[in-house]
Amino acid sequence: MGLTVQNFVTPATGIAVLYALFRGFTRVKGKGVGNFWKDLTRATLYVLIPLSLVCALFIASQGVPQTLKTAESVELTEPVAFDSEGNYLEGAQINGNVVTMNGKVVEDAEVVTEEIVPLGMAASQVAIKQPGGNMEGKEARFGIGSSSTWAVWTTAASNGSVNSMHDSYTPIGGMIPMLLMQLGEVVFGGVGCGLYGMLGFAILTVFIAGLMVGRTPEYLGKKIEPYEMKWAVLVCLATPIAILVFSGIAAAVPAVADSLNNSGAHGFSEMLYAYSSAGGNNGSAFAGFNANTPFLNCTIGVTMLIARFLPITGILAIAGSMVQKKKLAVTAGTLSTSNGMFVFLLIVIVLLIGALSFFPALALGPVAEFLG
Amino acid sequence: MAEKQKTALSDKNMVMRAIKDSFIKLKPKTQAGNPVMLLVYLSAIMTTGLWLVSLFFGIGDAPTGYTCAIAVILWFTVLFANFAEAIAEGRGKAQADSLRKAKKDVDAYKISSPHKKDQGTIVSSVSLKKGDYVLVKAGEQIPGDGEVVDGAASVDESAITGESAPVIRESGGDRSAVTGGTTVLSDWIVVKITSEAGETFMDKMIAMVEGANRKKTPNEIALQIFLVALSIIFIMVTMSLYTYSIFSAKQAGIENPTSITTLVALLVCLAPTTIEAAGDVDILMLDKTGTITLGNRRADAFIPVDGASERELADAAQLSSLADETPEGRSVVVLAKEEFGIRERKLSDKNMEFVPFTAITRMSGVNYDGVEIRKGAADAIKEYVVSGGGTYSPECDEIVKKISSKGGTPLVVAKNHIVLGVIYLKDIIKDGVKEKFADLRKMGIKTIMITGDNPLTAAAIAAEAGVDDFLAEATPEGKLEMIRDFQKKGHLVAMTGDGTNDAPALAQADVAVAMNSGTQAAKEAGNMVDLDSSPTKLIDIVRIGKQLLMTRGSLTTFSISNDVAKYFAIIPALFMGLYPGLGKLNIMGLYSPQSAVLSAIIYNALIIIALIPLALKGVRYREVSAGKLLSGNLLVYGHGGIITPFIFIKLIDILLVICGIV
Repeated sequence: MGLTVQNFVTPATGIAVLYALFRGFTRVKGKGVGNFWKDLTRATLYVLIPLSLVCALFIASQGVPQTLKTAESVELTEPVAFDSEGNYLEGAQINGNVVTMNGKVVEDAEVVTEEIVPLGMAASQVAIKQPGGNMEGKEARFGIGSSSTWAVWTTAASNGSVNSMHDSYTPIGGMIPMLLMQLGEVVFGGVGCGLYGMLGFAILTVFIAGLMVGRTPEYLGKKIEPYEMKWAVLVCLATPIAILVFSGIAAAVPAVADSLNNSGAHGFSEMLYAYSSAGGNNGSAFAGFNANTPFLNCTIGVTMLIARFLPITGILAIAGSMVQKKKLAVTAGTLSTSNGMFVFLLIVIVLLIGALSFFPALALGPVAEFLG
Repeated sequence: MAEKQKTALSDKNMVMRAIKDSFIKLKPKTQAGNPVMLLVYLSAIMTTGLWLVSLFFGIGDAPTGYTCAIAVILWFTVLFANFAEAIAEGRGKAQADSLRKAKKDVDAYKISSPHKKDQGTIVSSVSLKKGDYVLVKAGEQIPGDGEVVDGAASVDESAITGESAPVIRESGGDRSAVTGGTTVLSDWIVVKITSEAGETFMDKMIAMVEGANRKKTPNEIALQIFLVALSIIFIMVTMSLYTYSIFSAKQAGIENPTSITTLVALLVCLAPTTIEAAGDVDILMLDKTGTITLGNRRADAFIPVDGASERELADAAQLSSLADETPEGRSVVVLAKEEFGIRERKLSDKNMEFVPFTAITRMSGVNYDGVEIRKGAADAIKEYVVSGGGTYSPECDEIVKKISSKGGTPLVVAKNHIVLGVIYLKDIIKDGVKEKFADLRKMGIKTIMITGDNPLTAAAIAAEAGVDDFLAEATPEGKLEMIRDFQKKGHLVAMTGDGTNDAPALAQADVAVAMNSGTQAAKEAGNMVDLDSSPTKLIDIVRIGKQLLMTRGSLTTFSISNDVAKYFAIIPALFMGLYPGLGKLNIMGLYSPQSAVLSAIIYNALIIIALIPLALKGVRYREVSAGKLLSGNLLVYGHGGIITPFIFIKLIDILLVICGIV
């Protein structure tokens, strides 16, 4: 129950902070940016609870098991077969316990008819039990397409649930989810925070673009001044700084090496992924990494706090300052922030800051692993 | 088009001084002022330390020669950045120098008391003490600041004020103060020196110019924040990279091949070093004379009093002005001809005797056939009329006051001690000025008129010209104060001016435009000189402000884009020992890890020098939409910033190999 409350309150907080920023932009010479408790209640009551009801019914209608038990054995719609080495036999004919492959009977084949699905709180981390043998690096459940698509969604959108083990991905395949989190929750981002994070980057972009055309930067009719810049920079850089600092400290702690599931560059990737996931408010993991040590729990927790609450502080500061400003009229010289050019520049800046911050780290992890 | 001042680089003295300054600026206190440069500075010190340790104790994680090379290049980077800054500051020093030149020593005719005018000695102006008396005659320069104690003279103060019209300085009253460096045009005066050498108006002015360091503009502060934040990120990147490499080396079971020296080099390469320039203007301060008004007053109307006819007044006014060659005098003649068809007559026609203007009478006029016509300032004519037994009517007094309140100058005309009427001399607003101010207002720029006139006159002219605000009875301190106030409130101030007394304010303003007709000191204090002194160039001033802002933005974008290539040079070099496969990232095909790092930091140092001309000249501002301008500049400085270092780092690498250094 405790975590369910968090599941609602966290996105509601994001929405409340986002609305404070909206009011900062829309109100002219205003006094405040709204009441947090009001926004929190509204977001939970009118958006999140109805949404969760509708979604739960939809998912149940699609056959997802609903139970309060911790795990359930469910029958597979079709039995699947594996050979004695644990390889999945695709297209095998299964007749009771007899498995035929291309007309030949496979000896010692194992037929699986049901699977244990973890439920309850663990359901968000649908860890797939790989039946039989070593399936490392072999995606059998949803296939490459669906697995990697979900890996991108879950890391771009600050979701954290997985349908395959990211730790088992190819080096570059594992780098993409990592990079998406390192960009600072802005591709889609979490509820509320994705958009306000992106607006932070938009302020940064407006400033750089404004400098390049010789205009005092303004965004949505409000002038961007040093005060806003200070906080916008913090909003955009809190995530990379938190990830770099704490993963840097962790790299210097000898005990961390014991938590690794793999050695070498992939081991480094596991550690980097853990901090990136914390910095991106994500929750997914290179699950071979044992993060359950006092040191890792503490530093990963602090990374989460910094990456979550420093941007919130910055956004509220910007909102509070914006709300007091007058709205500037749009003139012929105003730089449009709604055309392709601006969007392009915004994307470039998001990627550039991400790349400049993490290129060396990624070079030591996935890139080194890939290039051998 | 306003001409940029000659490129500072072309001036040999300026370059020499900048080179000297780049060494002086190595003082830690100076370096601490710029966080990004401080980072490079500390890195240079650190690598030097590493080199010394490896030289004397043999402890080091990289070859001694390599560490030494890195340290040397980093010191050059610091010097180059100092040089770039010194060049930008050079202009301010040139201003003070030109003021000093204007303050030259002259010979002074010193007398012991105002009554002994013929018993004096010639001394140098520098040796004058407070309380000394000097006699200054027509054509001579006043040797020092002082007060007129005897006599009256017209004085050319254009060297100080920029106003070409001579002013009257006489003993007693509020017109007794004279300034050193100005020239007496007519008559003579005895001046009691009130300030010694070193404390004169000129000296104060020099001190003000030197003290008026440009405050950082809001945009510059915001940019500074951004650059500092990026530097912090890069510090984090390099520091975490050190522990990462230890971690990775342990994982690989080898000794850590990553040297601190190379990491420091990487940090310096990433730090966004840009060059100073100013920002976007939203307040424009204009000198009234020459910018808003034509500079000379013109006769606008004849207003008869005490029953005199307008024609009679015009006739008398024209006669009295025939020999008056000043623009004001000519305008009276022209107006009389235009309004009443009174043809110009020649002085020789009627045996006329012209009575010239003197500082004492403050009137001019003609005598012919027993008729005396005089025109002049109201109080002078009043005295003349009353002394001749005439009356100075309240009606005339009323009209004089009314003209003054409208911002005009009244000239009273009298014939044989009888007042005929008043000539209304008006400050003529230049054509098209009002429309320009309306345009500027649309661009969100507030215009402020600066004038030495009294507030009444100033208000009238301000209203007519359509400026938003005015500063009347402006003193150099007043102007400086006003600009500082606006800057404190976060505004960016542009200013036009032409006098030496404008120089401190011009130096303080973010963008300063000196009129070509102005004094040398004013021109030196400006960022640019307006060749034809035309107000229609105001838009250019705004454009220059934008240009300066664009230059900074473009240089910053260029600098950040550069980092991409630097990563590709240094990262493979750093980690090839750990993971040989990362050599594939060496897409430039640099010779060795050491040559890669050296090439990158040499490029990093040289680019600072290479960008100085651009920083001084500015990025071109074109009359296209903001969007087009952005895409154009992004293409040049963004893409250019990514591509350029790839080419030059490779070239430097080839050169290093050819020279056999690596």
